[in-house]
Amino acid sequence: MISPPFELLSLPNVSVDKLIRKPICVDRSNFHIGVSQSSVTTVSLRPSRVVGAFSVPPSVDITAVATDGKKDAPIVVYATNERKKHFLKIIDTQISQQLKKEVARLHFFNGCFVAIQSDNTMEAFDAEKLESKWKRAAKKGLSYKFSAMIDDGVCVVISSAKKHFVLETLAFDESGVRELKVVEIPLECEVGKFSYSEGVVYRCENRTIQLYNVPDATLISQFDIQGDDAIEDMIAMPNNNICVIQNSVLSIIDCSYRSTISKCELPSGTSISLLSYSPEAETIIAASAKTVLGFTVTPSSGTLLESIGHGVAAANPQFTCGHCDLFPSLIAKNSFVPTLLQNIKEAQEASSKILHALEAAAKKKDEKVFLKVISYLKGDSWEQAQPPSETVVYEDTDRQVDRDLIKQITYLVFSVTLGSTTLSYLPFLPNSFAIYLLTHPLFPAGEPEMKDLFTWLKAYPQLYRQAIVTLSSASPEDILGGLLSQDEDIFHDAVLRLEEEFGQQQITLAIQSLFNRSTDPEELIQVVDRLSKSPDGWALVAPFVDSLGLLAWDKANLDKLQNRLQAQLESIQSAVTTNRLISELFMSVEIDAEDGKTISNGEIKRRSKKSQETDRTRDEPKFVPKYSVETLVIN
Amino acid sequence: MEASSRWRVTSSVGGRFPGVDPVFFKDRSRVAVATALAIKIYQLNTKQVVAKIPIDGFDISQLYLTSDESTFYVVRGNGNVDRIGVLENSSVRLSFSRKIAHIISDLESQITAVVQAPEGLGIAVLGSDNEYDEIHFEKHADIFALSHNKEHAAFAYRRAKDTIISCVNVPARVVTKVNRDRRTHSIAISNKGLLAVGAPTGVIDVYYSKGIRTLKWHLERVQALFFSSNDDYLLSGGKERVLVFWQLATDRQQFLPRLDGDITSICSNTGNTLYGVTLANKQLLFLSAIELTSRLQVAGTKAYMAKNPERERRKRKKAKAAEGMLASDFTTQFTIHPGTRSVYMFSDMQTDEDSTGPGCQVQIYNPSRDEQEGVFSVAPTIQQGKVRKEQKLPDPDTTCLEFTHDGKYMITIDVTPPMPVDNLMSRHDLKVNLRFWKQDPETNKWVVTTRVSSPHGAGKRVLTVCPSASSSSVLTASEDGGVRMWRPDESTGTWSVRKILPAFNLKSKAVQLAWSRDSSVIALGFETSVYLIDAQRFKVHQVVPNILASRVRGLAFMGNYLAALSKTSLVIWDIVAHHQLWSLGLEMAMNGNRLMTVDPQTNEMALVVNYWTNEYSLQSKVLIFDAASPVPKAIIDNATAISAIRHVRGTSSYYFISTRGVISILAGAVAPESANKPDLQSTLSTLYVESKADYDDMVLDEQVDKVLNFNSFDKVFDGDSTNLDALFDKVMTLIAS
Repeated sequence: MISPPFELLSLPNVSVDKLIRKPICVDRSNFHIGVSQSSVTTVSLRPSRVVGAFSVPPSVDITAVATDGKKDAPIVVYATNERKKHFLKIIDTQISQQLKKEVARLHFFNGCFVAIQSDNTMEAFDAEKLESKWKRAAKKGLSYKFSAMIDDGVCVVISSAKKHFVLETLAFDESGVRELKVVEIPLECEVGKFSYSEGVVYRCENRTIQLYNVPDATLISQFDIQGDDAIEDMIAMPNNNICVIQNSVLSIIDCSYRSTISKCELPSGTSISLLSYSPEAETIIAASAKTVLGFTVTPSSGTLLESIGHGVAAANPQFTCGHCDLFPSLIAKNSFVPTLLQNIKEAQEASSKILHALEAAAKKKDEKVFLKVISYLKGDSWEQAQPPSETVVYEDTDRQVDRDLIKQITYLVFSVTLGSTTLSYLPFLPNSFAIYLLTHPLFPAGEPEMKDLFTWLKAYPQLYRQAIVTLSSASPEDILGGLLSQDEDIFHDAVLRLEEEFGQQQITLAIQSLFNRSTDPEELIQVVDRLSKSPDGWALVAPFVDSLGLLAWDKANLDKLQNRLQAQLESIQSAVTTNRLISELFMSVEIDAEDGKTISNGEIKRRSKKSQETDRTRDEPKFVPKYSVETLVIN
Repeated sequence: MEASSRWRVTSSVGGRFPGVDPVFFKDRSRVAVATALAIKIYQLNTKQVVAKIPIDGFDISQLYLTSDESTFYVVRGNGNVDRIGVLENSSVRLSFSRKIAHIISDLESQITAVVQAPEGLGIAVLGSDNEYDEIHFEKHADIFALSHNKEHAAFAYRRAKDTIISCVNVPARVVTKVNRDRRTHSIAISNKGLLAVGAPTGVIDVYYSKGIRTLKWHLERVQALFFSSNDDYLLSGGKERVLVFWQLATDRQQFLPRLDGDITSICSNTGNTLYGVTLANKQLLFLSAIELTSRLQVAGTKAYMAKNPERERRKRKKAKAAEGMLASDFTTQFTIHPGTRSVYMFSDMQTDEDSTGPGCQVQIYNPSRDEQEGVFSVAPTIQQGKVRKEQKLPDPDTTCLEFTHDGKYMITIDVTPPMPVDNLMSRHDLKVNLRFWKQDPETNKWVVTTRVSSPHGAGKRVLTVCPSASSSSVLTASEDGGVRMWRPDESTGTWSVRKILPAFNLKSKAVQLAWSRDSSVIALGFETSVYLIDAQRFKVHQVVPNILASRVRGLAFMGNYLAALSKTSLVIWDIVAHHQLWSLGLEMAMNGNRLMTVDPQTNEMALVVNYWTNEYSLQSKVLIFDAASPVPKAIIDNATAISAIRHVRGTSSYYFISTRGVISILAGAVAPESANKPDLQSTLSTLYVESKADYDDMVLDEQVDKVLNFNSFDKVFDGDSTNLDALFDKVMTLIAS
């Protein structure tokens, strides 16, 4: 989770542009930031307060800051740009060293500060006196882009040229630099932004995120982020997470699962740049106009569960609507893959043809084309398909098609667009088309766009009842909604489906989630009243009474319910006794047709026992119902 | 077998034991046994295989060793004969004018053999140039027996109520007829022409020239009869699993303790010092005739398969339904121990046509050593074999077997069907047991630590067991979709239920479970729906939109993706991005989950597809998919159907078992990169050692780039600066530094 931003440091009379080079150095739960024309300030993140500041003249731009990392009295070195001259200085001292080029980044290792200059020159300085210890010349044609210390004395440096960028893994020591690995990676577009964490270099360009392994620079992963806007800024975090800004939204993305773990929407028009991340303080440091901000991040568990449904990677449409039968490819001699690809392509073309035809028909309000789809799904070829003469439902023998095709057709019929939850059911369509869809096992129930389906269908009682009876993957909450319907048939079907499909605990949980304190108690009492009168609704009375507790029940209502139930129980009991007596009577006077003798007492007992056994077998659990076509269609 | 470049079948072992009699070498120290994949020659005193000659052991009916012990003849069920040299690996198909049922003897280029024809059986001398000299032909004969010295043969024509038996003296070409007014199941003939007939009722009749002698001990049909070479003893065996020695002179009997399976055949070496007993549970036992102790036991794989592919083939041929995907369940339970990599299979103990379940025996087979490690019983049963009404007592059936991720615990489910023999109130009750086992470190035997009776409630079947990939927890799911999480108490080893997900009100056989690699998400497939469950809170986190057009057959996590196998399709669902990646139409029989496995390192899925060709032959392909594409990364052809496939933990390999019981190892030639990826520290250390220190240019650069300004010389004038030499030294030091 990302907290709302909080102010760490105000930047009076300066703009965010002065922090564009990101002159920041995070040291445990503190950070040192160089604000051009103002100061080098040390800020504590927990608690958030300014620890100290070292002023610089108004003519000085600070380009980089670094510290030796000591807990007490650390040496803080900063690089400046003063009237086109470049210096390295230690705060609170007069020690300085002049350099040829602007310092882009400072790193500390083993008593030395390494200044990486904009032309890729590297020079090491003694930490106390800033005396030069060694220097590596710039590599021609390369300009510095990014660097990060990845281990004690080991640094990854990224420089770019016109058509490639170079990822160098360098080891610093007392005498100079060792090149551990240098890899050149070709560029097809802009070089983009870089960040590093836990052995991975992250690169973002436009909407693309790339992950490179360090030091061999192999591309581990690459994905495009959904949306039209480019990524404005990015910073890497531990556990394969990155923080990105895209369209004024700060998001933490888990690159393992390619999902957004959490988001924080910034006020519209706010432009911020990400400066650094402090793992100790679990805080992202960012700069907005005139303010340095902090965003506290609650560490994620890094589990798949956290990422479910929060994917950021754009869907690859390559195989959408490409469902085809595998068998022709299996028996095709020596050409499995070409046959499979050809079949996928043909399936996609067929789906595309149907969808185009349906879109055109929707505009013309031509219902015949829609009904043709049913015949096609029943197995006819699209060209020869004719609208069926009667209402039909899905059967196992129907054509196996891609789920995306059924989804697209459903969305077209219900005019569902992404992000929209309004129903605009095409009124010209006959119900038979919607009935077929509602019986199809691939009906996209469960999609976020279809979450209000049952609410929409209430306006069409026949379809609503159909959905309650046959829609697969319907939740108990959806079916419970049917109990509120005044239509007796819908109420009865909802009761039957709840009893047949869902366990007592599931129903209880669904009642608790669906009905809450805002529900009208009278409405619930009415449901229980109807259930107790219904011949099939008895089993649902108990969960309703239990799960609603004191929410709906007062003493008067409970007494009323008890009296009514008691009366019904007594009448059932007396009916059963009467029935039993009548059947015993019939058995005792039954005459054997062949020999004309009355049957013996033993035989009466045997038959009585058999009838009791028959009663007992009625309590056996129900198996998955096999609906016939007649029972599937609700007329 | 062809394999894509990265993948290849490195070895094939096991196979169902063909059940043909072994061949004894004259020196009595070696014996040749035909297995499914090779003729193995065992040294009897060391019990080691000393030679292995590859053959296709399918459909083999006899293994014959020539008199000079240089060549094997392999007689096939279809009457063909292959000749293989003992020291060669190549076989030659021999051409004879008649179909051979059994080779009796060989002499140069001629053989004396029992020949088979549609109208009966006979004995003839056959030459390679279509020579055919018929000694005797018995119309309608369906079984035969040969004496140990090969001089006498017997043919039986078995009818509904009586039998006509012909005894042939082969050298003399004299035939004696026996009309028997009772049914016959097995026959044997001695070196002196004595005839023994075993009846389905268990009675053995020995036919002497003067009359018939009846031997009664067996209660069930006598399946195997054998005379010792001196005619002193008659050996018999059957469903009682007891080898009975009848001393014909004294009328005394001797019994060998009950064996592992029904006795189907008995043979011996020339001196009658060693008996070979073939058992119905696909194993061969060699017994010392003197000590009556086991000298060697040879067994193939005994994996139980719900249906016989051969029966299905006949059915299809009859229905003229040639091509098509597989409709029947030829799968088998096949679990690999994560530590030892031994294979655990439900053992097909019986050959009874009426056996309906896998029973409760589990075979442990070691593919690397190509031998059976052991057989153990998951549930208590009548080990001694059943006779008469006892056969109505059903054995418990094992339905699931899994291991925890570290292989420390084994989890089994056994179901005892209702007993039809008693008219008790409990006769409809189904007994379900969930057992947790731990291996005894001393004996290496599995010991039950916890038994849970009716783990999901009375009478509810447990259909699937799913262990966690990262902890000792285990999930079970019942036929009503209820899920329970079980965890052990490490101090006592006892298991208990920790979390419960409520069940549905329906019952279905289509219930599947999968647990994500990080153990945070459980996927439950029930009928045509898939639910994602929060493993921590044990509540449904999300109902996956309808992705299955039919009943679920298998579920597996492939990283971010869920591979869902249904009766009619394979669907890859991106659970993070909430959309379908692709789907393919296929036909998957029950227990389809056994034909799908995922390598958790690479997230690649191996899927077995069995299919019928237009020649009514059953073939299969192993398809290796990654989630991104429906186009397989590799396709491995197999000439037979495959019953199960499993990934071998810690490797990039898969084991699969064919319907003939052959275990093949499918190895990825290139190990997955992520599997052995070194950590950053060690990589950097290696690179540092390999890197060359080249600082010369740096010093030069430093000299060139040294910047001197007027402030640089400030220190020169510090202290005593009157001495010119000292001043010069200071300037030089400054420049040099």
